[in-house]
Parts: sequence; C-alpha cells; structure tokens
Amino acid sequence: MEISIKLSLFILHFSMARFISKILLFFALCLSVIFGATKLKSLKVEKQHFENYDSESNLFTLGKNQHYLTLFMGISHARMFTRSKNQIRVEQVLEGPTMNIGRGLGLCGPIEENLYLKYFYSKGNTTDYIVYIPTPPMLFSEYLSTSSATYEHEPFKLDFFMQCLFSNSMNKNQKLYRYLRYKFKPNWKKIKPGSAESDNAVLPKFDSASLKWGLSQAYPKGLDSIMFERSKLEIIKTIRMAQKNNIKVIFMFTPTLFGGWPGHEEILKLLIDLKKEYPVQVYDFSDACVDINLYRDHHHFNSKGVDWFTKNYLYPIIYPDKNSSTELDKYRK
Amino acid sequence: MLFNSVEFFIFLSVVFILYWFFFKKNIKAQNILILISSYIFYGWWDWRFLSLIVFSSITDYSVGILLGKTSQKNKRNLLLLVSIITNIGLLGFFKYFNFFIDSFSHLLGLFGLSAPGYSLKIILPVGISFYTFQTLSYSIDIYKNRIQPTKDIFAFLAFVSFFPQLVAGPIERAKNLLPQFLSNRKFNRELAEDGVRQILWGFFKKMVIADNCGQYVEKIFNGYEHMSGLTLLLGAILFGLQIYGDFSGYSDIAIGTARLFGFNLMQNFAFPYFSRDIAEFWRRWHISLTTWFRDYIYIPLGGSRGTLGSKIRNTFIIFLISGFWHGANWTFIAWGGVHAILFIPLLARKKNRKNLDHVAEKSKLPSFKELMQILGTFLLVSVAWVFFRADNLQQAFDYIFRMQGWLFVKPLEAFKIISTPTLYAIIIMFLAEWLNRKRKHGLERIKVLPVVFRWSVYIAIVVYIFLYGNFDKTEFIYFAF
Repeated sequence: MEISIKLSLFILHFSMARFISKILLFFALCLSVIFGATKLKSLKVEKQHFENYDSESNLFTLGKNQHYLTLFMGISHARMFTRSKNQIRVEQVLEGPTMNIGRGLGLCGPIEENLYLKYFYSKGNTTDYIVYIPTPPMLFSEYLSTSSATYEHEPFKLDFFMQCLFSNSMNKNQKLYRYLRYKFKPNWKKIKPGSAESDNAVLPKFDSASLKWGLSQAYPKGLDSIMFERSKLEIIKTIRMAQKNNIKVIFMFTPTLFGGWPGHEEILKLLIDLKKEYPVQVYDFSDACVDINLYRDHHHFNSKGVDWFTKNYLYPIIYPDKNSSTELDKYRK
Repeated sequence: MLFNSVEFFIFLSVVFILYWFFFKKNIKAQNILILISSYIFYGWWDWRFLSLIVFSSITDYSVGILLGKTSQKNKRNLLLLVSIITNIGLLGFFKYFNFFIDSFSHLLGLFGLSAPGYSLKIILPVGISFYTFQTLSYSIDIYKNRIQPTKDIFAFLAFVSFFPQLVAGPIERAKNLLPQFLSNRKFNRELAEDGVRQILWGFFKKMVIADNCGQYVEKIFNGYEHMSGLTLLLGAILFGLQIYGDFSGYSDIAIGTARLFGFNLMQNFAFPYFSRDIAEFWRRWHISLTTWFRDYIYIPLGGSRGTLGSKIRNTFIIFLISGFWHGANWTFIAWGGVHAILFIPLLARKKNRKNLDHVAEKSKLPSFKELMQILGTFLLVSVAWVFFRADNLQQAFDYIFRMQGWLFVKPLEAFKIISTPTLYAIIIMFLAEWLNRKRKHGLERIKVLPVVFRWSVYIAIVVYIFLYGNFDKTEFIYFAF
C-alpha cells in the first residue's frame, strides 16, 4: 500500500515536473522570440546617430561612463533646454556637456524620471549637477504618470525593460507592452534624427482663454493630493539617489507669463522642507520673466528665452564663484 | 480579476503550486484552497458582493440538507420556494429592479398617469446570473431526486464559487461538477497540457478577435446613421464575431483553467457558426445556459409534448426568458423573440432536430448545400445580433432598416474599416475551428502533430496575440450579464 502511494506520488511529481518544465520552456521561447524580434526592429532605428536634441527619447543618447556638467530632469520645461539645438547653446554658456532626461509631450511623471536617472547611473554615467524642474502638473496630475505611451519612442533595451518591470511605475504593464509593440508599428521605422536649428516661435499675445483651457487640460482632476503624496516620495528618492552619487541637486521653477502654476505653493513648501533635511538648492523663477518675446507659449521659452535664462540665471547658479550679482538671491528659497 | 491580466497569471501560478504541491494529499484542504482562491478572485473586483455568493450558497446548502431529510411534499415545496425566492430575488433586485420600475412608469405614462421615480443606483454584481442559476439548479435537482445533497459544506461552497467559471460560466450542474469536488483529483499531464492549449486558444479569440472587432463595432454602431448598408451588415457580423470570440474565449480559458486543477467542465460552445439552422445554432451556442433553460423551464412547461400551439408557446417563453436573462432591456427580449420567430418554422415542420450530427461528418469540406445553410444561418444570427447590441429598440430597427436600404452603396468603405491582421485572425479562427469541429476546442487536434510544428504554432499564436491583441484589460461582455 505504502509502496503504491509512494509510486503514485513519484509519478505525480515526475508528470508535474515535466508539465512545469514544458510550460517554463514555452514561456522562455515565447519571450526570446518576442524580445529578439523587438530588438531587431529596434536596431534598425537605433543604429542611426542621435544627439540628445535630435529626439524626445532619452535612450538613443544615454551612453556609458560619460561625465556631464548638468543633467536636466522634469517634463517639457526641462526638455526645452535641449530641443531645437538649444542644447548646443546651453552647453556653450555653461561651458560643459549636458544631458537631458526630461520628457515632454505629457508622457512622464516623477516615477519615470527616477527610472531614467537610475538607468543613467547604472550605465556608469556621472554628472556634477541635477537641474530638476518640478513643473506642478508633473507632481499633481495622474495622467502624466499613467500615460501608456511613455516608452514607445525609446529604443528597446532589455536592461531598461527589466528595470521598469520591477519598478513601481503606474500603468506599468501597458507602458511596457507599448514599449515593445511600438517597434513593430510602421511609425517606428520613420523615426530619424533631426532637429530645428532654433525655436523662433513667439507667442503673439497673452491669451487668457487659451491659458484657462490649457490649465484645465493640465489638471483634469484638479490638484490630486494622492498623486502629490506619491510624487513627494519620488522626489525624495531622486535626492537620495543623487546624494549617494555625490551630485548637487538644484530644484527650480522656470518662468511663466502667468506666475505660479496651480499647486506651485504646495511644491515650494515641500522643497523648502526638504532643503532643511537634504543639501539641495531651491529657486523659484515663476515670475522672473514677463517679456512675451522670449516665450513660444505661456510657459515655454523659445530659443531666445532659453539663452536668456541660461545666461542670467542658470550660469550664476552653476558657477556661484563667478557671479557677483545679488539678483539671484531674490529667487533663492 | 480579469483572465486577461497579469494579476490573474500570478494568482493562477500561486494557486496551482499550492494546490498540487502543498495540499495534494488532502481533498478537503484542496477544496478550502479553491474556495479561498475563488473568493479572492471575486473579491478583487468588489469584495462587498462576496456576501451575496455566500448568502446564496449557504441558503442552497441548507435547503439541500433539509430536502434530504424530508419526504413531505408540502415541506419540500416550501424549501424549494425558499431557494427560488432567494436566488431569483437576488437576481431580480440587482439586475431587474430598475427595469421593472422604469417599464411600469412608462406603462402608466401611456395612460396619462405618472408614477414617482423609484430608480435606485444599483451596481450589477459580476456573475450573479451565473452563480444563482448554478446554485438554484442544485436545489431543484435534489427536489426532483436527481441527486443527493452533500454534507460537505466546503465542497459545496467551492462548487458554487469555483473561480474559473464563477463570473461567466459555463453554468455547471451539481450532477457533473459537485462529485468532482468530492473525489480525489489526480494531476493528469495530458489533461493539463490540453487545458493550456485551450487557454491559449481562448486568449487568441478574446484578445485578437473579440477586442479588435469590438473597436470596429463601436465605430460602426456609434455612427451607423452615416454608413452604407454593407458597412452596417459588416458591423452586425463583426459584433457576432466579437461576442463569439469574447464569450467562447472566456469559456475556453475557464475550461482550460479548470483542467489544470483536474476538473472537467462542460463544453459551452460547439462551433455555433458552423450551424446549418437556428435549432442547431442553439444546440451549439452557450450550451450550459440553453440546457439549463431546457431542463428547468422548457421541459417542466411541457417541452415538445402536446399540441403545436403549446410547443410554440413554450418555445416563445424559453427564448424570451433567455433574452431577458442577458439583460434588463427590451432589446434583449426582442433578440430572444427574433430567435423564437426564426426557430418556430423548424418546429412547425418538425425539422428542429434534423441536424444533430456534425457538419461535413464524413468529408473535409461542406457540400454546397451545407455551405449555403451555414452562411444563411450565420447571416440570420448576425442580423439578430443587432437587437443584442443596440442601445434601444428604435436604434435596432433603424439600423436594420438602413442595412437593407443601401446594401451595396460604398462597398469599399465597409472593408476599409477592418484591419488586415484582424481579418487574417478571423480566417485563422474559422479555419482552426473547422478542422476541430468534431472536438472540444480549436486547438485540440494539433496535439497529434509533430512537436516542432506544434510548438511553432503555439509560439506563433502568442506572437500574434502580442502584436495584434488588445492589452487594455477589456472586460468580457458576459460579465455584464
């Protein structure tokens, strides 16, 4: 009796082991085929030479063991320091190389920015400064963090994929799925490096109605306090990650034509509180510029605006020793 | 928890390992594990409604025990009534309360009277139409002395809430499923492997066919006033494919998942779109529901016995109830009515049981006559689906009217709507199901083919799902019923 029980258990185990092995092998094969095909499709675009300003994607240009003077983080208000070859002019003013991992187009929240930063470090890259532009919708609006298109235009990197897979990113599965599947869409093949020489667009006039509409789009759920609490933790993570790598973190609100964004005060208070605990610098330039000629819309600089801001504010922050002006103190928090 | 979610894959893996590695020696422990897992699976959607399942299950368990102890007719009738009132009461309140109130108000309005609005904001608990029918059939079967009541409460609770089929069937009978909870389950590798094949096929039908067709259907139905007759016909056909892919896909995943745990659930779809007449269609579509209605309503009403008039009456009743079961809207009742009208000519000519065999039983391809019969039935069923999909009766009639009037205007517009990969997927589905029409699911026959070919097909299906499937966690249509 005992022998027959043992025998049936052995058969069960053998049979089960075979079943599980087959299932695991099947999964492994499926994943290999999918990842392999995705990489092949990705390589067709990846092999082109991209500069940071040539694309809104970050992984085309994130290399290995590079050193930068400044790393920009945030959403479009960070990305504007690179777009339209602004990067070249910013680097000339700042006298050093920059890298921008900010993501515009409503695709990125603080969690995704942290993932890019983590990936940046994991490749042995270093930077002296992180310039983090915490535009309020980024911290208050869920839709930026939950956008499923975040990684679509990024080349496929298995290590980046795995990093995202084990992250706490919101709507992660959809993001990763679209990251892979986009490589099989006809639009992927159309991606080419390219940038305008400069952004010369100028806002024709201050338009309250359009601004009101834009703000309602930026905060579909108003000031989402749950999202803000989540974002807070991510900001702290960024600071800690930077601290671990001996990097100075500068938080700054870039100027707008309407002053502070909704939620600006709450974020400023958070940053001032964090400043007591961590060695970070905080600047609020929200109302530092009202010259409409420097803006392409109500809150994004054009190339002229980027030049002006970099020379007058960014340079003195990065090089405090070379700066004798006391104007910066007005914005330091 | 949705089958087409990452959470379900993790859940399934954990339950599978616990079930076969940690609880395999004790059947009671296995049942308790299934019970807890099923409640977690259901509670993932909304834990508050678990109380309804527990209440319904405990009622029928108790009714069953008491029925087993008494042979007095009056007492037995009373006990059965308790079960019917409990289950139909739950279903009636959560699913039909507002429908009856609104319809009553509307009726009073026709006579110039007004009734105060009593509509309540009631959430329809997922799966309520399925598990109430399952547990109710248990009490009826004991009442009819078809089965003996079980004293094993965990086995009974697990039978009612068994997670693979809890929210959208197949609606199992106690006679088939309950004994499986009461006897030892042994891991059967071949059964489990075929289960995985069936799950894979289910996902293909759900994520590639149903969800993609659903997008086209939405586009067509939302703008039907501006589309050609051919496009509207295509919309109806695509909805037929959507609902088939969705529901039979769910059933395939459910049956396949149950097989991983050593359970055999009944076949719910037997390739209904290869039916040669409406009667055959109803023997092959949602089998667990149609047989439920047959056994518990149609036959007690007299079934096919009696005069032609009584047969027609019974047929109408069964189809109207079946339509109403699907949803609290006149459109579903009309859908049932349309099927009754299509069915009655066969009944009157005693041809409703003509096609009991498989189509092309002894050949690889259907004869020309069979092909015409299949296409004709498919077309009739597709047009009837318009009632099922429409928001109201007016829209349904308007849609059908426009479908006829402008049939061949702008034919290209119709075919531009559907993407090539979806079209290929539909062809693949029909081809695979044709080859397996005498079997249980669309991938069953493949097991006899060489391993390399077999695995290549499996991987190709996974890649096709990856490339063209919908990963938006679209809910299964029948969850709404």
